Amino acid sequence: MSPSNGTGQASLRVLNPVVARKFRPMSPAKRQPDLSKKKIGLYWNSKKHGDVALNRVKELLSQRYEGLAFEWLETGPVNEATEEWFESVRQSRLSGVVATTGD
Amino acid sequence: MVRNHAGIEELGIPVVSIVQEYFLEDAIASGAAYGLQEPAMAVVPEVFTSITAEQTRAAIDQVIEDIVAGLTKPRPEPDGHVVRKVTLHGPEEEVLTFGGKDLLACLQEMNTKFLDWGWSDGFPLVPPTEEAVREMLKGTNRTPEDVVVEKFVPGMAQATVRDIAVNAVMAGCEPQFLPLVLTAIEAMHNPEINLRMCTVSTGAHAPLFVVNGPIAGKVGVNAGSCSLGNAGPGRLSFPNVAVGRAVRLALMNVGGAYPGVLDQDTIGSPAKFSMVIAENEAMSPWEPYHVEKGFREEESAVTCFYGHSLVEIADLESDTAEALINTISLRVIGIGQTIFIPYYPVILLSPSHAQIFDRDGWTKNDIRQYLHLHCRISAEKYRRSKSLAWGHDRKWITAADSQAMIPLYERPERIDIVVAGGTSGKSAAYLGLFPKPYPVRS
Repeated sequence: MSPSNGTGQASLRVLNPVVARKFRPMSPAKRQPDLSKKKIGLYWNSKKHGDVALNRVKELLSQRYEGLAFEWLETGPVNEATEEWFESVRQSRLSGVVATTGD
Repeated sequence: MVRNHAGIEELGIPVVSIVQEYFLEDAIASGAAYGLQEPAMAVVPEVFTSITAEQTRAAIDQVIEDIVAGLTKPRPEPDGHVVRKVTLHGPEEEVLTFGGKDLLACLQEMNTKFLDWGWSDGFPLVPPTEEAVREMLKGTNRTPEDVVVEKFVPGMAQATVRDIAVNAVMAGCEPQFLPLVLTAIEAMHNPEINLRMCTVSTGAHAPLFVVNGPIAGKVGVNAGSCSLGNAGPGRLSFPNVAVGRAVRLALMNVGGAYPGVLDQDTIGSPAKFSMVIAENEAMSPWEPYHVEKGFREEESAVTCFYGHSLVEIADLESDTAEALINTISLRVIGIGQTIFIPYYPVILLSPSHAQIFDRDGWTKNDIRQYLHLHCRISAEKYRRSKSLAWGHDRKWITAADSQAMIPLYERPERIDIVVAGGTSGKSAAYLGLFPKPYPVRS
């Protein structure tokens, strides 16, 4: 902190209070161009009309891809996903997941 | 939710998140916090909870091409390691310089900029100069590089003593307050508290910290009248205010819980500015809260109750335990949660109320058992509240008789009682999540 030194100017030096986070971003999952005869997860955030939205996604994707199957996913009201839940999702052999978020 | 989406993507399964426009920055920040640099998203204009089912279906029709693209088109590969501030706003330099015609002008400029960048709680901040931070660090024996929490929720950045000290300076803390700030942050990260949910929820959550043990008197944390709220009279409650404010600033600048970004409160709560209290151990007829939880009386501890809905329980009339507990239960049932998030009340019992119970031979356990028994609603009302739609584990309620009374607080041992405040016959209750005292390290 430097008071005015007669030049009519002063300056204040402070530390940046915002912390930097160091991370290595993950590679995105490989996408499959054709979803016919594949299985898609519909992950509901337990909020009102999120289920309506996902059911509409199901209708529209079913019209577009032949033999497309679906699996309903939930993690309860506070959406705490356990390791067991992730393991069950892994074992479901899904080709993609459409998820509701926010409210 | 985006945290879970990132976890699924990590399994090698493509995810498309349907995100409401207002939550877009939140989704991007949440994705970054969990290593997903560019999440695939379909952005809808309105939250589904606020529109009709028909409008929801129409909103999906508008974004179905984005959903298909997110599932089938390759996503960009990230470039190596990333070092990113927990906010996208403001400069990244470690040291910032503000100029002006005099120091007051410099200070005003700093405060204006910090406000613009979202780094401020809205009140004027003390400048975190290197000298001030060095002085703050004298308040602890811990080294500046000592890690306080490995992943500060919700932004998941590592937090060191130095990082917290910078924010403690801005909050106006004195060095002797720093151990309380550090412990409060550790206590907030108690894994039993779902801190991620508390910080990013659309419901307003705020931490209430209770200080026990000799440090309260040593630092001057107010345990008497006006402990919560503004400082005063004189310096009374100043440590209460400053410690809570430091935690709040750290939640934002270290944890990334910036309002409107990761913090998505629908209305918000003034409780977020600061809620710190010391138990009034001197006037309590019972053993101190931290002793009840296994600490020795000469040890100091900080407990975090992360929740919402502080309500006053005014009862100047009751002069028996039976009458007083009736008043308390009527207020506590009023703030009870029917949706299945397991909040439990902490009763901040004023010394005069605590003494009525003690005089009539009531223990804290009697109070708990009474509240467990009397804070109930009918099964019919419970079912009508849609709580069961939340998929919780109280399935038995679906079979209960309509007029059967359902306990709001299934586990009485989780109802906490802390003696707090002055002697004017006013108690309070606050709903929190799974508190656990943490030892204060010097």
